[in-house]
Amino acid sequence: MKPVEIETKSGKTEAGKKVFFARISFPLFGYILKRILIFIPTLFIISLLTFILISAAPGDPAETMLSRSSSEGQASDKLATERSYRELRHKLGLDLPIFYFAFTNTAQSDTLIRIPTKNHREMLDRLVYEYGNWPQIENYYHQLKTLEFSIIATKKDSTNVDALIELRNTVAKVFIHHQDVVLSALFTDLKEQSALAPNLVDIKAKVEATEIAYSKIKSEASVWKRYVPKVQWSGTHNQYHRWLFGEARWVGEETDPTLGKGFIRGDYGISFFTKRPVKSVIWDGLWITMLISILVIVIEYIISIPLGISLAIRKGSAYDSGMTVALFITYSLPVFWIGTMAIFFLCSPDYIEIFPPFGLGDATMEDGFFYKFGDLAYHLALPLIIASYASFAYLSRQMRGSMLTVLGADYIRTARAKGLPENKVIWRHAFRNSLLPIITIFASFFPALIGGSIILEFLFTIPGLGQITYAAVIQKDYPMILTNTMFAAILTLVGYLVSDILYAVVDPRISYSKK
Amino acid sequence: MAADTVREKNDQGYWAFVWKQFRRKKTAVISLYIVILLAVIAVLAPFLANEKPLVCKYQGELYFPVLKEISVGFGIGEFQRQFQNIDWKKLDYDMVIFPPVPYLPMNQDDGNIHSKGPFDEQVVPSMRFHHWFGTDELGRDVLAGMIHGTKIAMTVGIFSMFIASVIGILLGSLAGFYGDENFQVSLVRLWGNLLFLFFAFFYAFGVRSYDITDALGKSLGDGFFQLFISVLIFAGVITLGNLLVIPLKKIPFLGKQVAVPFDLVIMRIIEVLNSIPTLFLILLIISIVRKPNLYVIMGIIGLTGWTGIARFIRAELLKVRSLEYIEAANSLGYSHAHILFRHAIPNALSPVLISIAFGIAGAILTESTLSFLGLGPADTVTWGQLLSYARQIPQAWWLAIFPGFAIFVTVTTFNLIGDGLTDAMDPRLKQ
Amino acid sequence: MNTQLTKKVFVMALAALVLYGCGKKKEKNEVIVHELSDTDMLNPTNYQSADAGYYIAQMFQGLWGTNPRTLEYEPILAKALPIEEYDSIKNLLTYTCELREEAKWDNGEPITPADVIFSIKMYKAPVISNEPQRPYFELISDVITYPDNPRKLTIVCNKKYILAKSVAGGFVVIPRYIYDPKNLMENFSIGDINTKFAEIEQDARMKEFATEYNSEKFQRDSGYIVGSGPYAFDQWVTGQKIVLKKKKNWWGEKFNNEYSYEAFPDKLIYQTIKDQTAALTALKGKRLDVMYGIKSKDFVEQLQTSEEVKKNFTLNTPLSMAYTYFGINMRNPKFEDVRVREALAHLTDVEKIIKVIGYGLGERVNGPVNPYKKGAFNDTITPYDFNIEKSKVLLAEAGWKDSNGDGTIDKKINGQQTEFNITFTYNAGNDSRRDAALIFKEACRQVGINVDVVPQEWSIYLENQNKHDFEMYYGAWIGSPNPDDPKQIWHTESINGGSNYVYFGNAETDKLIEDIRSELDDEKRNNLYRKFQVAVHDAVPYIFIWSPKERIAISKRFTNTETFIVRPGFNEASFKLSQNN
Repeated sequence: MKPVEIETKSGKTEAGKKVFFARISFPLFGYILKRILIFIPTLFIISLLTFILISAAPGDPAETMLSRSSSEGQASDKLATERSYRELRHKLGLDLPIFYFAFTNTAQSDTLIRIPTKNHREMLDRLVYEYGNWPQIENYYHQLKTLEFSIIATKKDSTNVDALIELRNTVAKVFIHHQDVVLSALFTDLKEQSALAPNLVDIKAKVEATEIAYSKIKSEASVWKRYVPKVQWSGTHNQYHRWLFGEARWVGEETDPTLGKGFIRGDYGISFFTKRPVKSVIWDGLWITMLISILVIVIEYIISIPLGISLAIRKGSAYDSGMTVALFITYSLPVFWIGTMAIFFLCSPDYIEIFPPFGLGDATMEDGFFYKFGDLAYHLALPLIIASYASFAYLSRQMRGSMLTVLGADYIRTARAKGLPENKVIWRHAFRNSLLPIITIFASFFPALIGGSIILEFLFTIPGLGQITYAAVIQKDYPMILTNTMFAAILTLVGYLVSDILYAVVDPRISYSKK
Repeated sequence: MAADTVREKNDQGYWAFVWKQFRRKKTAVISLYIVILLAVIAVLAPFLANEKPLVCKYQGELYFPVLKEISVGFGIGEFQRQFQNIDWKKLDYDMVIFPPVPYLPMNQDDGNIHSKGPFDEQVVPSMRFHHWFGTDELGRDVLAGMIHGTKIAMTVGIFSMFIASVIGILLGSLAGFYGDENFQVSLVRLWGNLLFLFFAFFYAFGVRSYDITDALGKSLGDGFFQLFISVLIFAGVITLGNLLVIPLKKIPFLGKQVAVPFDLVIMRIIEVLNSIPTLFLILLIISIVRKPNLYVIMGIIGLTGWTGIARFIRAELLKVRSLEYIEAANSLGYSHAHILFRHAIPNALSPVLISIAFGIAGAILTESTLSFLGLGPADTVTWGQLLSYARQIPQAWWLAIFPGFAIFVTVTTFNLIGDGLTDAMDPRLKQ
Repeated sequence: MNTQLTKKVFVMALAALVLYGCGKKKEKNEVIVHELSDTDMLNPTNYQSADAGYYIAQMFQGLWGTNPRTLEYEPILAKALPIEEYDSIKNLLTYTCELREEAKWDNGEPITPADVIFSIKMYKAPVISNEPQRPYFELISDVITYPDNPRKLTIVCNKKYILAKSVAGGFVVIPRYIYDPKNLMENFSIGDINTKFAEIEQDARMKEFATEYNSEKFQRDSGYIVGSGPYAFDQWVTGQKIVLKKKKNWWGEKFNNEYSYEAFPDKLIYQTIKDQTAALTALKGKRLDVMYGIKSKDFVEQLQTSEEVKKNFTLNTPLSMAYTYFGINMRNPKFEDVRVREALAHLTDVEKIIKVIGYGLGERVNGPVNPYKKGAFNDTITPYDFNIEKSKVLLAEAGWKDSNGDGTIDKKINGQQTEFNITFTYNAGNDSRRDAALIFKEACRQVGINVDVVPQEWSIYLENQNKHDFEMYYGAWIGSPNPDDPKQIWHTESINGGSNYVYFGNAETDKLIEDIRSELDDEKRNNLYRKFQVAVHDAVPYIFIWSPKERIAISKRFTNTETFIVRPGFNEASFKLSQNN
């Protein structure tokens, strides 16, 4: 066991440099190129997965958008609201199939997604799941709709008003139930209710027609269809295509301004909630999150690496154990609590007012560079401290651990035996080799920072990507979620690539070229 | 034959040796005891903090209400008529012994609402009923919450990290060990498996989607049962597929050996998983299962938290793979598993154990962040939830210090145990 | 060796920061209002968040509106309140008024009925992203202009409806010359939009106009958000603040003795601070002039107890028009029996809820009509008291007993032994609702009902209510100073598609609601309201909890800072810089 190789390579600085450049040359370059090419399918899978997740998530953005202001006024005007809803879904492209093709079973139908009301879609999907014969189910739904409208349209008088209310309620229930027991009971109710008043003959007939349609579903059930897989082709008229490539013309002038250009042509769509182009919303948040992230990473590494090394050197001493305890204490208190405490005690005239409690300052374009810089630094100081302290424990612990592993290695013992001073042993020989775990962590830092910034940005009212992503998820703002995920994905991929390259630079034993 | 028995003996000796080394380290052993103590607290929580008396004599008869409660919980007992839905503190006992903390976490002490501290003036009948760790906004006893929260914290932390470690070590080892070229199968098996993966997914989950979600909505047990059935179907289809492949292998073209790019695929999985915001995943899954309970949260943390561990193992294996002792081990004819567990993993142990130890505390903190966002379970008291209460009331230090200290103890002890294990398993120590 | 130097640098940097932080506070005639979140946009017809509505109200004006101090209608752009006429043959309700002759746009042109017509089209037309507002404007069927009087107009509504007056005058008037410089909307009349909606939707001119109108510049660019009001849009720093600036030589200046024309501060600044603690700290540090929606605990324990705060701020607690309630699914077999619902009402310790989560800052409500609506409110109804014994009796009467001794009461429903478990949902993140639910849970535990308190993400929470897929939930409604229209929440037609999530109602209550909706005489309508409240109380569809008071702190730098019941409870434009500053 004699990894002498390492010693000779890093022992002399000149030689080390040469090796470094040698490594960066062809095999590594080829490797990077290969990795970047692999980005494309990875990003494709990520976008597709996000699409699937979004469409599986409960909640309907169109419904959320409409219901926000429906607490007063004439919103109960059923037809008007339904029209608004249908139109909105169409505008947002929610009535399209999700992808070019779908792996489903033969029972599924491609027209189901066009049914506007989400509850109804779910009920119908259940029926399809249970009975597998879409034509009959579609017919049943049609009958049920007719029944509902005839009930609404029937003129009320003193004899039929009670019956009509009951009928309406029961029909409303039929729309959301799929279990046979419940439905049979509901149909019995409907028949009784329609018999209550003499002038409901028409409705009674419709109830019977609906029930027949329902029993037809059962009698002509084709459950086997569920077990036969099917590839359903939807063509380019689908949500994914619309998002990725857009519907606008590729060549020549587009006449219809309402059509989008798609993600790969740099059109990220319009946010559902703010109705702004996603691009400008994201740019607003991106620079500040990137700035904070980079500063935080720098601060964390500058402090944690020397700290970890010093702990490793004095392993077992009082300094080691005392520092360890202190670091674990900081780790144990969540950022949201420390942040609140900092605001409460360090920004308030009741205690010490050193830092501002919110925002990024109010420097404007006209202000000089130094004022702008000072203002921003003044506002970011506390958030940066809060954001970075939590990782000290983890990072320095990793650094300490890997340093100890390296210091125990044979070649270090050899170096010591040769009489090299301890300082030299550590910085020249051990340091580079102990960086591996820290580099591994580096890769996952970018995405973690974007996710983790949610709380920080909330506490200090910093309008960054974290806030934007969180709001988008809560508001079901699909274009925002998609674009944010794509940005996060690209950053993550770059982070991984950088960390893999750093591996090779730091540890010459790792090679990406074929042997 | 002889070599095998030697190896086995070696293995036994190895673990005994590790244990011996571990015992030498005092801090690690103390930490182990603390973890055991926490486990005991978790198990005995109903006896430590409860509104019901441990023992009482009521109207001339002796009762053991806490034991009774536990038996009712297991469905083997029934509450006595006179004790159904009563306020246990208001009964007129002949003799009574309350648990050390005479409150349940959800008991609301109307006299001490709006977060009374341990040193604040509290409205209690006697010091016996003092809230030693204070109360929260609803007047609930913090100490009782801490005790009952121990179980939740331990299960959340350990269970989620267990899932993460298993997946992480498995996939990380595959990626690092076999790389892109070292695992060879026949062409037909490779493509066959991809095809059957699709069919397995279709029949196990696609066809049964509503069965599973319905069962999950009904109860966790039903849900797991249905999931188990799906997993069986999945395994069945895959096995069937692999059996079908065997005769086809004889065809020369299909039988050609190709490499499975494990590293490539697993690294892409990690990238994809890390690119989708965890919060989005959590929101989504919580909303699908409708009732955000702790098992779901554990599952999510476990299923998303393995990537770091996998990358550590892979990174270490990349380094170790080319080392001479692996080559030596190879030439000695040791199995892959042996190389993996005796040489590669012990080398990667330090970063992995640290990240597991931090992960356990991290899971507890994640649960608390979920509470902060309002997505945690509402009617169980957890350490994390206490912390998120503390944020809203900066003056109420007792809501932060105690759970904070508990998390500190957890993270420290697990770290120290990890340290001890790293040292004990250090392959160099053996010489 | 280097540590000494590092320390010095650090101390110096810190000192610089501290110095920087101090020394920039001046008395300016600007009001800084705290907001919890950034708003969505400032397009006057497409916005969705309530905050945007408040800002738009400072920049745009309607024909008439409610004065929140008196709760009476007052003319704004109209010279006087409109003349209301009902044509019973055609079933048309009309409002006729004349615009103020002084009223002018920023370019000096007078505001004309053509602008009013254009504005109504903005609310009704297709392709424009006005979907949430559009249904309300189905009511307006036409606008009549008079060639002999260029300022006179009549707004025609297609039916007799109590809210017609508020809809017909409540929208804001939008300048055509800014929003439609190409006059594209001239091509479509209000009548066309009513009858040929789908056709216009495909029209290229409509598409061109709407794309422009929906675009970003009309949402957030100064120069494109222009109304006739006293303030002009100045600046929007995303996620941080919105600034409105007082117009120089504003035409309405001379009317500033009327409420709607009060506009004294030079600037209105809406400062976003997401975190409550940070906002409170900022308030104490006098970085804010107005903070509303302060958490009750902070208001009582941190502000009302601090002499320093009381020296600098007035602490106001006006009543609000909101009320909260526990909704019960009346068609769920467990709750079908009215005695069970009564028992649950008796298990709700409203006093404790108000004390614990509201610190006493609120009033109990007994029904859907807010007590401030004097004539309509029925004060003879006494709410259900907190009474565990009574609820035990009621539950026993309804057949609920603990027959298997597991601590939870049960009953045979449809032949199935059912334990009394309730799933109680609330919207995730709302901690006071969670606490109220936990108080209810604890009371239920004492009679052997097991309550699962479940937070649900907002959209799912709403979706489940729409589907009636819930057992009990915690909800709230916010009223307006206009007459209440109970149809949306209480009519049986609203069960499928409206907000009657709990299945309330029968023929009798439906009749009452329809009568209320079309009764324009206040006295007669109030009688109907009172009858309606009794019907609601007896059926217990909701357990009514409380109407919280607003908690508003306003800086003493200003006078004329009266607070009122209409959201948000104050009008920053009325503030006058105090003399002694």
